[in-house]
Amino acid sequence: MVRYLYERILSAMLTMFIVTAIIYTLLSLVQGSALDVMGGSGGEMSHADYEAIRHNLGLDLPVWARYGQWLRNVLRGDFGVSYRYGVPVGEVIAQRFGPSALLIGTGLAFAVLLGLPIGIMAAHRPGSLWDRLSSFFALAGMTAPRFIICITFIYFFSFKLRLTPSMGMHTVGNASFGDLVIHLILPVSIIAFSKMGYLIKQTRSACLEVFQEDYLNTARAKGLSETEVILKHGLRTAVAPILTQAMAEIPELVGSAAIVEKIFGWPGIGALMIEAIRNRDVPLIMGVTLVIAVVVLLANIFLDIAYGLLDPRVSYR
Amino acid sequence: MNSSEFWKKFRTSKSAVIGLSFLLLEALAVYLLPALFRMDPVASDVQAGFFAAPSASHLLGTDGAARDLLARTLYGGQVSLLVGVAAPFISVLLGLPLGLAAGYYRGMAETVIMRASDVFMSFPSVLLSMILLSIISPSPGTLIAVIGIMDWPVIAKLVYGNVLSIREKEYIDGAVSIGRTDFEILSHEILPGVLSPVFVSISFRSGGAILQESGLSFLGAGIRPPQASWGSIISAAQDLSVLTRTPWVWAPSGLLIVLTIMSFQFLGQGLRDTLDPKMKL
Amino acid sequence: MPETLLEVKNLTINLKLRNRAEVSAVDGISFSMNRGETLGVVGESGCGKTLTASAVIRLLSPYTGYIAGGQILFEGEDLTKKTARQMQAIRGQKISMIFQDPMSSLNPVYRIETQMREALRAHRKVSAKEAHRISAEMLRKVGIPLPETRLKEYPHQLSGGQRQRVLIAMALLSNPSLLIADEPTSALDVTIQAQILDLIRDLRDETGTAVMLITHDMGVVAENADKVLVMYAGKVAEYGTARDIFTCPTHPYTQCLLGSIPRQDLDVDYLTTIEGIVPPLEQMPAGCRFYDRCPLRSDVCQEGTPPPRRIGEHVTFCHHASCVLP
Repeated sequence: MVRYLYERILSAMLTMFIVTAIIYTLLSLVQGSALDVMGGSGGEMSHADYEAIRHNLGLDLPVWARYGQWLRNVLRGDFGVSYRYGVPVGEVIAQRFGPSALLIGTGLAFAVLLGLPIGIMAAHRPGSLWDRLSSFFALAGMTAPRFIICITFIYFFSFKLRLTPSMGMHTVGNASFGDLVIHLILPVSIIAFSKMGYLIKQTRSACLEVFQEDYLNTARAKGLSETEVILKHGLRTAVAPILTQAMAEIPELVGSAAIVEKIFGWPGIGALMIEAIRNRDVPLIMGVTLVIAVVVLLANIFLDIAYGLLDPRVSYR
Repeated sequence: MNSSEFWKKFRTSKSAVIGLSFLLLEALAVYLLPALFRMDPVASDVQAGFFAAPSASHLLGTDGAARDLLARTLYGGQVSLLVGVAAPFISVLLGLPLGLAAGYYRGMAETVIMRASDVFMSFPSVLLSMILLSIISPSPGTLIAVIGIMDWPVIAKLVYGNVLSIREKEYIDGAVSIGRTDFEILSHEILPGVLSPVFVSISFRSGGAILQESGLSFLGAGIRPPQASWGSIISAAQDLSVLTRTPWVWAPSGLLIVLTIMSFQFLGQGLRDTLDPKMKL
Repeated sequence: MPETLLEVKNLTINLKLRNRAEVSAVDGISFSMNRGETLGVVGESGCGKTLTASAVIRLLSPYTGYIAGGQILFEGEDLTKKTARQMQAIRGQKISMIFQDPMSSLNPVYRIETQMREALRAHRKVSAKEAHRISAEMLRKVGIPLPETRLKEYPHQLSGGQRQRVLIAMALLSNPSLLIADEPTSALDVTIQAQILDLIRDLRDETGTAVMLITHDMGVVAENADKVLVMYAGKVAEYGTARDIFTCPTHPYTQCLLGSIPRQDLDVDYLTTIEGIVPPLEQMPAGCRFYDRCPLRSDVCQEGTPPPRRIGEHVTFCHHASCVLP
């Protein structure tokens, strides 16, 4: 187990190394124009100044040397300074990380709490009205683009019905918890809705398979109630395959959360990334890239271990 | 299954027929109507006004530059459908050979290819596409390439999984034992078994590609005005006053995106049910 | 005077077909069992044996079929009238069931101990320690070596034969008065089959649990059963004591089944085979359902269901019933 974990972490670090190296190389192709952004539209820069800044930023070195430098700095905890904001990247990210975690975490929790039971009930009575309704609901969640759901929700709930605010995390001058909750409702329900689509579908198909297993009849023959049979024996074994599929979707979840954050003006890491890419703010892009990669890979390792704990047939050599 | 049997079975799937008909009608509309009525997606009709409500002269109203929204929606549809149909072929072009190699040769090829696809899949594709598109200037062609490249691991993994299970079959051992070459085995025994899931997944990936394209254009990283695409038309709704006061600007394109993606989904499900309901995708 | 444990009267089970039509997969069958007795239920695949057994323990899935008529009197009470909750109390406590494939009948994600404790706790309050003791004792009884170790293991760590022993142990934890064994050995190696059947017989003798043994193997019936129910296409072909059936089989189907098992005591060169298959439910012949395959068929067989012919408890549904030993 320890050995397995060690190997997993090693391979995750390798993945992280490759991801950041690729993105750094790609970004080096646009770094020249980033200088122009920094120079500002009105600022006329002399050739000498331009060269001096290039040298200061290390842009006159070859890509691999600059990546090496970046990596060394990162290992020392130095992510560089944002071109755009002029403050250390670490600080910007630290500020933005919490709101993203809150948004994604809450959305995911709701998706699981609602999606699992809906999927189980659909699988328990396949072909029923409930099954058909829930698969249509799931299809809608999976296929409707997030930004269209966002716009539609804002139009109806914030504008037509005036139920919730549509921007930001707090009303200016109001830092109360209630205010935060009101701001959370729309973005969270969008993330929950789109994630729920996958969950319903995956739960349904995993359960359909498990519900045919003989050991469910054994459990019934023991005198367990149908609820116990479905939850303790059916769902319990179906959870492992659902987890594996959830694993493949974490990056997609982060990506769609970024769009939601952008539209709702949510001060999260995804919206920050979109802004950073737009501004060609290389140090900031690299910082966020690293954070996202770490989160995704950690989540993968976590789910992998959870899978092993849930299914005793898996052995970690 | 020959083609007449295929159609006979395919026709029984109501949703697949609806999906396919919708897509065909939509393709006819977006490619024929603008030409027939000589619509211009970039001309401003200042007289009609900015963000003008639907009227007889502008059936869907006008946008922020007083351009006719009907024309823009139709031209935008050309881009979206083109990307949707073309991008998956790029993914297949990359993913199919790589998946075959990884599954058939195993060893080094398997390690490298599967590791590469893991790396690809461990980062949000929207953000990666945005980075790529900030380097190369976005156009329908580059969007097709970027979205197609983003999706190759999906196809490669699908092919890889299917090859692994076909390899276990005894007729492969049989082919090896009578001395057939790797190429013969791959092309005669393995490829046919892999093609139908790939075929089905093209339909699903088409929907995905349209989703990606519209999202990128919405964020300003894809097709940009004055060129039209559904996503770029909707991006006007990032302005709260457009969103709330002029829903005719974004609602038709939004609806079309949803219907198109759903149609591809229905079509894909219908194809799967027709070819093999137990297919692993 | 033996006490009646189970009496099934005119049981009919209907299946819903794809086109919403219904067919009776089990059609008006009757039989009874006494306490401590073994009833062998024989017939080819698709004869309704498993449906009958599932009906007795009321485990018919609503998607496969439902009880359309008849009574199942168990200890004098009609099980078809019981609510889901009442049945829950009966299952595992008074009636237990073991299934065909031991490889898939234990939940792969729980330890043996957990699954046995669950069976115990479904019916009475026991501490974990007490449950452990009872489970280990039961495993020892079914002949599992090192029960303490086995309890901590997962199903995939046991062999097929051991798993079936565990399932038997689990089924007998609450000392039920009826054990339904649905082809308990057909998924096992031949050498293990005999061991498991011996075990079931020994346990019956020891605990007095009646056994409904479902099988397609006449040889198994001959060695284990007190009474025999021969089923064909959802109907009773012949029913009687094992002695009746084996010394004087009167239904041609029973005779054919008996002719198809190898016997050392008879000097025969060829075993009989029965041509054809059980007709599909939608295409049942109007008269005797065995008509198409029967060596003794005549025109009268096509006119309606053959009436029962009785000698005491021995019943045969055949126009040409005659005692013929193969």
